[in-house]
Amino acid sequence: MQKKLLLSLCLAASVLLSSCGAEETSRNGPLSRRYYHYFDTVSTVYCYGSASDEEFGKNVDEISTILEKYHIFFDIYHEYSGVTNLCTINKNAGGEPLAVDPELFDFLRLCIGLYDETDGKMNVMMGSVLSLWHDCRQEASGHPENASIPSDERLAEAAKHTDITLLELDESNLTVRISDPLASIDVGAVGKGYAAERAADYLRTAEGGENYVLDIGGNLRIMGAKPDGSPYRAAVKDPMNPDGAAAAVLSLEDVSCVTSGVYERYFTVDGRSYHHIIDPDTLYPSERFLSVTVVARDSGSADALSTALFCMSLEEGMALAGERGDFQALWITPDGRLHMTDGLVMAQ
Amino acid sequence: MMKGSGTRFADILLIGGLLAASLLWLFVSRADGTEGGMAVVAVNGQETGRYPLDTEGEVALNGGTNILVIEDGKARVSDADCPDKLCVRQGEIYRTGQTVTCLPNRLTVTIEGKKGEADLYLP
Repeated sequence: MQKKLLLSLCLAASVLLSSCGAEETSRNGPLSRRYYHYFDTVSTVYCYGSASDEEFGKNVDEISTILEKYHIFFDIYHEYSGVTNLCTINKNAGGEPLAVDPELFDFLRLCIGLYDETDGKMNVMMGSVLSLWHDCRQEASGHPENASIPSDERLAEAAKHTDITLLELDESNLTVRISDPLASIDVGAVGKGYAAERAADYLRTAEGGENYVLDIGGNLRIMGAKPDGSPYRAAVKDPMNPDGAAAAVLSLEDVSCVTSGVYERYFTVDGRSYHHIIDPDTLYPSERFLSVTVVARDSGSADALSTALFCMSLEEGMALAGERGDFQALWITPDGRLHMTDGLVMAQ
Repeated sequence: MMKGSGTRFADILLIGGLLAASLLWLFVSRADGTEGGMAVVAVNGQETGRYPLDTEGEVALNGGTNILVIEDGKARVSDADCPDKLCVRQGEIYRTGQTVTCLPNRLTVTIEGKKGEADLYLP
């Protein structure tokens, strides 16, 4: 007992001693605060400017409130008292229309727009199919020996309940209804980015809101340039070697950027890995790319487009980028090659 | 009550040995010296410790929920009590901004301060 205590004391001493040498490093870095519970992922708010702790604290509290609000709206696993969220809407599928908060309504309207813009590749009504894969991923994580993938029959059956028109929005009454009891909504591919953009809306008008970078579960929302006026340098992982040197370093200023990669969330069955980006056409993880990175002004668009591009061919994606002109992209194909739109700026 | 009065010689040896070991862990830099990167540990968003990457060693984090290993200028979580062990699977980190996360224990290890190739790291 005593010895254990002494051991801890020695360890504590070494930690204390080591922190002495590190304060300088800490002061040179950005102010930051990290959250663990929003959108089942890690979110970090950075301030690269010269904000006081008090000012940073105030802004980061506001951002936290915004993230929490959308976390609650988008949660498909839990209901919250006094709020009609996506879980409530899913549970009520096939029932009466539900009145929702205007902000959630705005978001759902945008989701229907995204479906049209991406030729159906970004479909928030894929819930029935995604939940089959999600359940397998959860099971594999807890009991790797039981790992399995959903049967083709179950996938095909679930896919009958994914039509975007099953999501009914009533503009005049601000109500929402899913008309098919077996259908469900899942906004995992767009929710985090959308929430990041709402936090960015706040920062744009906030006092001392300059020089922030939001990392909402990997969705980067970069406000302006660095305090010295230079762009930020953002590293894109090499999917072949995620721990190694970056595949590319992008030069980014006042934009959003997100990468979807096969190495992020996956599980393994019989030596084959299955990641989390499900192609609505094949109902299987898309095997077209190892990662897709999208740079766009709007973080919600960047998030949704990275998933959509993952599920279309390089040619279709390039064509979409040319047509829209409001985003840049970097694709890494299974052969390890990089493909990018003309406007993507690499760091020197 | 007075049974354990007077610290035994063996205990002094143990304390001395442990102190020497932890100091060694701190100050024995590798010959080829990396440039001052730190593995910064945060639990519940609060920083709980900093460990220089140019040392070698192993430390129990958060009361033992996660084990941090630093060797060859890289940090990794070698073991954890969480069910999914995703933190262990995330492997080695060494570049500024790289993070290993253990969501169940609300713990992160982030590389700070080393002159890196980028300011930000995409997932």
